[in-house]
Amino acid sequence: MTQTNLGSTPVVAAMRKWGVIFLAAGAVGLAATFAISGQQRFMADYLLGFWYFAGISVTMVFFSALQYLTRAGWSSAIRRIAENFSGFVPVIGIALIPIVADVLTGHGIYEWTHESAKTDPLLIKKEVYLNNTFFFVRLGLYALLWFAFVRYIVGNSVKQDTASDFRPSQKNWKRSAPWILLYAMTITFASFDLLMSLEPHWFSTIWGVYAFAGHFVAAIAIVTLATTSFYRAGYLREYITEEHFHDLGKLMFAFSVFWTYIAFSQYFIIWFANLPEETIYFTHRTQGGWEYFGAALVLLHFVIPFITLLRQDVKRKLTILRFAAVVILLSHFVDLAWIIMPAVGKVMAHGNPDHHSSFVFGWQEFTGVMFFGGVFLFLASRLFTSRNAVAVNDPLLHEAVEYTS
Amino acid sequence: MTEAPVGIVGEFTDPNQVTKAAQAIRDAGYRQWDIHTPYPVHGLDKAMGVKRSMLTYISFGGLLFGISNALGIQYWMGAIDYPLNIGGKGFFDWQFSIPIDFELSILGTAIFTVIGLFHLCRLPTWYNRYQDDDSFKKATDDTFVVTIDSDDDRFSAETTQDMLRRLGAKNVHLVTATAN
Repeated sequence: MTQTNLGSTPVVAAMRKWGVIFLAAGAVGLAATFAISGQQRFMADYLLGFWYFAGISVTMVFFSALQYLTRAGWSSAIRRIAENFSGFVPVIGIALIPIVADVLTGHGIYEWTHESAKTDPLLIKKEVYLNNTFFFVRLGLYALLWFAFVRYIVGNSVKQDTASDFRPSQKNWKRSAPWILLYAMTITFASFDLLMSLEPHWFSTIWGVYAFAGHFVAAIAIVTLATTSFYRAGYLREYITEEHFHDLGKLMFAFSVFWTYIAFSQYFIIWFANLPEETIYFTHRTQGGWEYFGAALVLLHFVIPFITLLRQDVKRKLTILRFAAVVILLSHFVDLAWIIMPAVGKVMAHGNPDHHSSFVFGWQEFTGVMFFGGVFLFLASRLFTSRNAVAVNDPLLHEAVEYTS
Repeated sequence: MTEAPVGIVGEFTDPNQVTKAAQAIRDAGYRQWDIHTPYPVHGLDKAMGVKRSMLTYISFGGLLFGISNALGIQYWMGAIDYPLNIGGKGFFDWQFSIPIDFELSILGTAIFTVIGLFHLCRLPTWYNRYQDDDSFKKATDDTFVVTIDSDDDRFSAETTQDMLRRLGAKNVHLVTATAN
């Protein structure tokens, strides 16, 4: 048998090392942002980093649940790698505390929490949903449900490693459908609450799907990077074959196209109807420097992944696959920055006499992602140390070793 | 009127065995041969040494055909031949052209793929020299049938049959046709 616990390997050691470095550098950077650029800018960067990695971590659990729901054999060899990246999920509740504190100060990044919202006719109507108490209850609910989600799905998957029968896997097979329904609801409403309510006058009903699509393709990109790193370093060679890379490449390709489809659907309907309350979102994001972000998104989130991953044989070439994965991770950052920063720029400009929001993007925007990236990597490295990197006792593992895609 | 050899037919019932046999036949250097299976067997094309089909390039050509048609039609009709102001939008905008570009690229790809597939599979073929053989007919039911054509350079009525038997084929026999 080959090594299945990779805790002592250089790959996991590098994950731990860079996790700690990013965590420390990001924490210093976030503190500097708070000191230099103020609370709102700090909070925007915090939210950017938090949502990037919280969304990806929860989606890793969803990926696992999806494999159980479909009784997928191919993925049993790589499923645990995704599951080990869910280490951030249990601490989401703690990470939400600064967001709650920001709302409580009364001059945070959410415009609907400000004093001025009490005289805004539209926000008065939305107060039923967008009020502090209900907002906090919902945030707590997400943290709690996601914690239960990871405990159940990943917990059963880990229990299977040492079980004498297949009962843990059978439990997951039975219960993954309701958990996925719950994931769909929570990721939708969490994206409404945390991101869409940054523009409280605006709404988009496809927002949840948009958020999911971005997280899913980014999660697959991280799984691809980790799997190829282990494989290149010579680990898991008995379990992972070229076929897995081919399928991961297919998923990255498919879901970057899916994201584009959803993103364009959202843009297209608003562009065509041309109603002022809907177009504010895009008019603000296609001028004053933000139009370059939009153009970069088309390039990074669609054109480059599409062209690099279109051919069948490149999905088996690890260097190209890793390049596409890095581009996708970068594009997810650009996507979230494009959503969050213009909205916060507007809030920050509220005090200004000219009321014109400025272009808000600089070194500060990288601190939040760095911090949470560090937390994400460090917690993942801990799980890679305490658990196997392969679901060694999975009832379908033999299929994953033999299959051809 | 002489009986000319068409090829050798052998039956397999186990997909793993037929995959192993395919590798052996491929390594023996045969080129004019085929395997007929009741359902797709994963990995068999690799075992047989089938080269990657050029179908993807035909499909890509269909995509280019479809998207250039979509853009051309919309631009020519909307901006040149019959400009109409609809809802204050431009006569041609990339935004509203996307759904049609998307749909016509899919349509072009699909049509080219189907036609290309028919062409590459030589469909429709109304007659096959093996079709009256009883073993060959089982390929549509429960048997994996290997056929090695007589026009293969390495074909020899005896040694080819021996090889197939050695690989575990059942009911190996020579198929002949009446030549005039």
